[in-house]
Amino acid sequence: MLKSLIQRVGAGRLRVAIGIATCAALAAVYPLADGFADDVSVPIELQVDLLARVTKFERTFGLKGTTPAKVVVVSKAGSTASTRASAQLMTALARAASFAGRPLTTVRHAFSNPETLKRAATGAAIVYLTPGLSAEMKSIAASLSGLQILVVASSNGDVQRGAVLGFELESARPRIVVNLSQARAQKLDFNSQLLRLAKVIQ
Amino acid sequence: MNKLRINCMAGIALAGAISVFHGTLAVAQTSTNEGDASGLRDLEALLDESVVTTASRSAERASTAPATVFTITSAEMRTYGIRTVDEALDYLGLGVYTASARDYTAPSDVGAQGVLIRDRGRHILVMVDGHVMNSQSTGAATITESLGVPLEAIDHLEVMLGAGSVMYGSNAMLAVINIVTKQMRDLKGVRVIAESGTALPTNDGSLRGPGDGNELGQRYRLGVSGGVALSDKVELTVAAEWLQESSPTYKVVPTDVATVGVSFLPGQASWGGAASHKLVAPSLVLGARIGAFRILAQANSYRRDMPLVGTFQYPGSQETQTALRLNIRHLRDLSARVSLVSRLYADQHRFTETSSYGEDYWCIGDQPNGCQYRGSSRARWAGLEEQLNVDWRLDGALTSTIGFDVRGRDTLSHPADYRDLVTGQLSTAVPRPRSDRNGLLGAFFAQQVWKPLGWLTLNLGARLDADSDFGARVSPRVAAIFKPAEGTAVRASYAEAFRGPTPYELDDFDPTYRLTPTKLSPEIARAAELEWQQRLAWVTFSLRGFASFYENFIDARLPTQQEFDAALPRLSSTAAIEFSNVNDNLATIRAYGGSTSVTLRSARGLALAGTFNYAHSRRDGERMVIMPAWFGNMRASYQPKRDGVALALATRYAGARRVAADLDITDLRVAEQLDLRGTISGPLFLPRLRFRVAIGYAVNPWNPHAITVPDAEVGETRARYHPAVNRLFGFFGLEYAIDP
Repeated sequence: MLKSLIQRVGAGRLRVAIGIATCAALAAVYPLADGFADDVSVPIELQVDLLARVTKFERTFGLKGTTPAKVVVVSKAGSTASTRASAQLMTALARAASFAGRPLTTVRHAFSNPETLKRAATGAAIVYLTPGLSAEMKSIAASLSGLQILVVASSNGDVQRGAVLGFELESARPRIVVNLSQARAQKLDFNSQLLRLAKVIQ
Repeated sequence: MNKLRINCMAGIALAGAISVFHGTLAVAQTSTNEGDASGLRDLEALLDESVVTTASRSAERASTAPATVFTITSAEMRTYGIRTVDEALDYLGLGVYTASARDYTAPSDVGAQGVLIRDRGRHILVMVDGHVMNSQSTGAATITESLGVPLEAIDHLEVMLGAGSVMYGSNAMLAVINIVTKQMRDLKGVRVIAESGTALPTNDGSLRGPGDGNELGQRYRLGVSGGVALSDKVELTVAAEWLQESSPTYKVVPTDVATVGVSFLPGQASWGGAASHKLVAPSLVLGARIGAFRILAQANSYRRDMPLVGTFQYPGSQETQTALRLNIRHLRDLSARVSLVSRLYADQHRFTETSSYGEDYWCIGDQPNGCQYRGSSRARWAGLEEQLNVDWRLDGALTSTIGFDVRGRDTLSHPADYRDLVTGQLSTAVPRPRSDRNGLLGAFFAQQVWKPLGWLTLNLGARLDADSDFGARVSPRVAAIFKPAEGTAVRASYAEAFRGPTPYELDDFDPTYRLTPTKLSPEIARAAELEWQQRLAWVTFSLRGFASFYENFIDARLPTQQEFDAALPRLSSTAAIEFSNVNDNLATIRAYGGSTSVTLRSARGLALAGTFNYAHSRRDGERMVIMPAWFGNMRASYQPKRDGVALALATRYAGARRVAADLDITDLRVAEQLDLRGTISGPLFLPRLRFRVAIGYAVNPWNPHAITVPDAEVGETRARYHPAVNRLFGFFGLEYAIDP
């Protein structure tokens, strides 16, 4: 049967067809993907632990005393990494319960555009961005500019794109990243001692 | 020796005093500067905790890992004047003791969990970004200059202590060392590194100046590294290094006694004098990230003289290694809950060792002129590994990992070629030993992590390895991690591991003295551990205890008359049963011990840290003697400004131990070891120019390796044939970054 197939199609053509089929199968199993899917970032649970401590060193967060702090977790529809991170964030924030003495109230927001996010963030103390929003980062930063909101990015690189605060791994150890110009734009005031520990982006 | 012991104790006491003082100071500061200082230190402590992946193949905090895992960063290695991975483990690590003779047959022996064997690192698993580096022919993995990874390519070391076969299979008996390479953001631009060092010659353990036959040692290291992002989906990195060393001369007391291990060339009346050796080790690592793919290619060559093996300072006595490796990794999110990690890998590794002998005792019967010995092996292997991760509840509280690893290997060894020293002809008196094996390994692994409560993590896993060379073996692990309070973690775990006999061991044969074993089974390790980690604002410490049981350890024994007679057609006429040996599953080892580590932090850039390890080991009821009962390190660094000038002092210490010779253990003891290293590093004049200068000193001049088994006639002096060659050395390096 194989012999007759080879005779009918020709050995050369069959080899090409097998090659194409193999490549197609490999591409289906191992797609190139849109970005660096294997970025090892700081585990979400640890990010929340760090954020709980960082808020003690942001003056405006502490000024509100024991007023509940609203945290908006922003997810991106269609992004599996975002879905996973937002679910982990909700759990970790629920476990943390309070930041700097302020009890947390957590809401989830599915990102559609910066304006609706701005409305959802009204009265919020923290907006936590999950992966998949890098392309919209600049417009998000612009829309939240002027509001006293700590915009935190959960994935590498988004602080450079306009988030105020983020976490990255440096030689397996977590490091705080602060975008100081964006912090000023959002009227936030970080303690200089904290900035000494952080990687500061101007 | 008493002096050395007193020095050690004084050092430990001093460190303790500093710790108490520093602690008092820190507490005082906390009380005076109210919550801010305390909160800041608490944050600093949290930032100091590593995120590791080696213990369970997924990112997790070191305090919740199912095994003891510590990391050593490239910054720490730079600050403390570290040049190789074995030095990093000695000066900055926990629970791992290395003995690196470097100019002798074994480049590095690595001990942990109370066990040290002259084994070329067969009982540890060494990986680069998860890619196994142990040769599939010999099982060996070296972590000295022969590792083949440029220093500038290393981002950090992740070391898991204890049994690790549950995730990685064979060889992970005592520890798993994962070398994680830098990514583009760390190598962006181009960096050029030049380092030059020197070492003083020694004579009978004493330092000497140059002249009168004494020559200084020289060591050079040239490196270049860089990275570029071609687009938001494509990044490329490269790191290359050329390392070359000519050791200082070390005088070896001449002997005219031709005995085991001492061989004269024709016309030579004695063995000894001034020896030195050379080492050349170029290496290259290429990395690429293309979308979800991460590609790592590594190549290296290594050549090292062995002037004390066989005839004295024979130029052809050397070890060579070459390796070429490729690792392609792909990560795909199948859904929010499920991700798939695929890994395709291929390796080639070659190893040769040559030495020469003037006495026909060491050669085949038809080689009266003497002979040159050459053992060689070549291994090629390739495999595919798939790993599926499922986060069932999307909160990390219930996660499963399942996967498989399929590996094919092709090995070819000539364990003992003997050529006539004058004619270069192979002996025709006996058949040439040869091993040609094709093997297949199939492995399946599974792990379940469950966090039923915020303070409790349970980890259960197992791996089944089925190998065409030695059969099947299951390696389970169970661990429970309790976090009763913020900053406190208590772990209890039990794990099993194994090491399969390698093709080289299974077919080992030397017509002059070594017989092929009839059957070899895997070595097995069973270990129970209990660990307490505590993180406070100004201090982090850990206390760990273990009980390990090892069975079926492979070692050499005298052959039976029946075994010897069966091998006679392949044996040289010079072979004698009383000087022959054969590998077998012989030893049972029991080891109990523990380790402790302390790290102190100061807001002013002062860091103090230390470790202490103790183990009591018995092999078949007898005390194990080449692993020092206690060892550790202490270090202090002062760096007031990040990226500014750093001053650092690191020490490693170890208790007295027996001297090792070849695969044997001697009755001789080497006293306590104390090695010191002081380093200054930082920016120099130009904004992108950095320097590093270091001085190292070994208080004890004797390396715990002898060239041969001592006999009553020569006694203790024989052990001193191999002193510490780099007793006092220094180096200076410059690094210039272009477009960082």
